[in-house]
Amino acid sequence: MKKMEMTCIGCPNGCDITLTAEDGKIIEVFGNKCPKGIEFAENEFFHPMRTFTGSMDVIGSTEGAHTVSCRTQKEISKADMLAVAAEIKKYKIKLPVKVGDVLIENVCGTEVDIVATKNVH
Amino acid sequence: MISRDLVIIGGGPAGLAAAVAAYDAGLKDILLIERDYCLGGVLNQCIHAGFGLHTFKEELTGPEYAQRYIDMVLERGIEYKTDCMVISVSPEKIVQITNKDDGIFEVQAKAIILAMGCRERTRGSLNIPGTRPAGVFTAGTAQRLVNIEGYLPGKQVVCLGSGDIGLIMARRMTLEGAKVLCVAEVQEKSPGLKRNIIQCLDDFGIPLLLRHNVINIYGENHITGVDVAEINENFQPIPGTTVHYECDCLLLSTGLIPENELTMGLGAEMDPITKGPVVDEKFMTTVPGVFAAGNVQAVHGLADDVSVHAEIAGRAAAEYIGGGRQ
Ligand SMILES: Cc1cc2nc3c(=O)[nH]c(=O)nc-3n(C[C@H](O)[C@H](O)[C@H](O)COP(=O)(O)OP(=O)(O)OC[C@H]3O[C@@H](n4cnc5c(N)ncnc54)[C@H](O)[C@@H]3O)c2cc1C
Ligand code: SF4
Repeated sequence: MKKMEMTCIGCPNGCDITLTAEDGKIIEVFGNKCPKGIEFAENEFFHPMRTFTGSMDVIGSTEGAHTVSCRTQKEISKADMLAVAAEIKKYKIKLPVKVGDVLIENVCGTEVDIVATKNVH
Repeated sequence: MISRDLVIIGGGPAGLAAAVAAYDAGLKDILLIERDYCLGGVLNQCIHAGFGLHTFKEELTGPEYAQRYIDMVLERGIEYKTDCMVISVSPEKIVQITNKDDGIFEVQAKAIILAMGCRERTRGSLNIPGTRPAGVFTAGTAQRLVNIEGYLPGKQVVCLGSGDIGLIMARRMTLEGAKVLCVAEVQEKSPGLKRNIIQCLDDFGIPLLLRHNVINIYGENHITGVDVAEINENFQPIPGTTVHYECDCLLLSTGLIPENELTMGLGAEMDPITKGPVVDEKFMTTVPGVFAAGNVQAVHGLADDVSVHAEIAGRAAAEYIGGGRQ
């Protein structure tokens, strides 16, 4: 039997969740106030996931902007966070961009895209 | 003199939500004034996710959250001016504005919504001994430098205070390639959200030192290090616990104060606890027809709450002028 205690980061509630597992199978999850907590706990046990957010350099801004803020469209493996952070520094984004525009496809082989989170021109 | 039914000062989430709510309540003659070059307020630099869980039922980043409201303002054709700074507001509701092109001009309003947000406590209000070198920033200033200017203010970082902005910046600077040595917090418990301690510190192995303070700062021109010590119940350093950290950047994340110079100039009664103006249940200050919404009224933890309160103020301003739903 393995017990894992954690705090859900799904929302500001920050529920304390306890997960019990045996032979690599989850037996019980409790402490979560909503179903999102179960998914979070399962991920934390097998494969922790996070949303990456950052900013990328831009060129040719007509409003004097230096950067465009961005995110991974979905969560990526927590282990890939630093690699993604280093990767996006290699790019300079041509403007204009809108919220949701794909800036990098399949970043670092995660099968997740980096998208813009701001309109910049 | 130009005149408008409603003048809103500040184009952050409070000003934007108030404008949309006032418009939808029937008030069309609105002017929104923002001193920055774009709308969105401090959310433009809050590029992390964690906004909109209440309002939009999804987790947005700050700029995405702001954009939703900016779009609502644009869709309605609400008039706004950026690069315009309000320098005074009179009880007669004359708003004095300055910008590069027009110098100083005035707008006569029938109602006003104050939505100027808040600013951070600086080192001046903290009293740390030692030299006064460069490289000491509030966490919010660092947030602006990294996220908007694209400039990393240091490589070896110590953070004093574990408010949410400090926690978020510890992660942000780590992702940008800096080493965050520790986060020192004078209280027994961090004022930051638990989820931020996990995803910003624990995820990257950054130590959170509770009941610790920065007791000395070193460096002639630029900061070269700090001393961090454990403190007792009276916030005095405990001898023998001092640890020296070599660093080129000290971040201060020690709280926000509402931005109320205009409000005080107006003569509105202030609340000594919130440091914002005294307001009624519709967010009207003691000056009739002048409302206050968002962080200018009281520091709000969540932008979603700011939007809700600002909508109440927006509708109330429309009601005050008599432009209620036709
Ligand atoms: C550095 C910092 C980081 C933050 N991070 C988070 C976070 O991560 N998550 C969260 O939920 N909340 C965060 N907050 C709190 C956040 O401020 C609120 O959630 C929300 O943005 C407040 O909205 P607001 O419209 O009241 O203020 P703001 O967003 O600050 O907007 C006020 C606007 O008024 C303008 N203004 C001020 N004075 C004048 C003037 N005289 N003339 C013209 N315009 C003026 C300013 O330029 C600004 O655009 C942060 C606050 C700060 C200061
Ligand atoms: S379990 Fe649900 S309510 Fe609790 S922190 Fe996670 S998302 Fe929030």
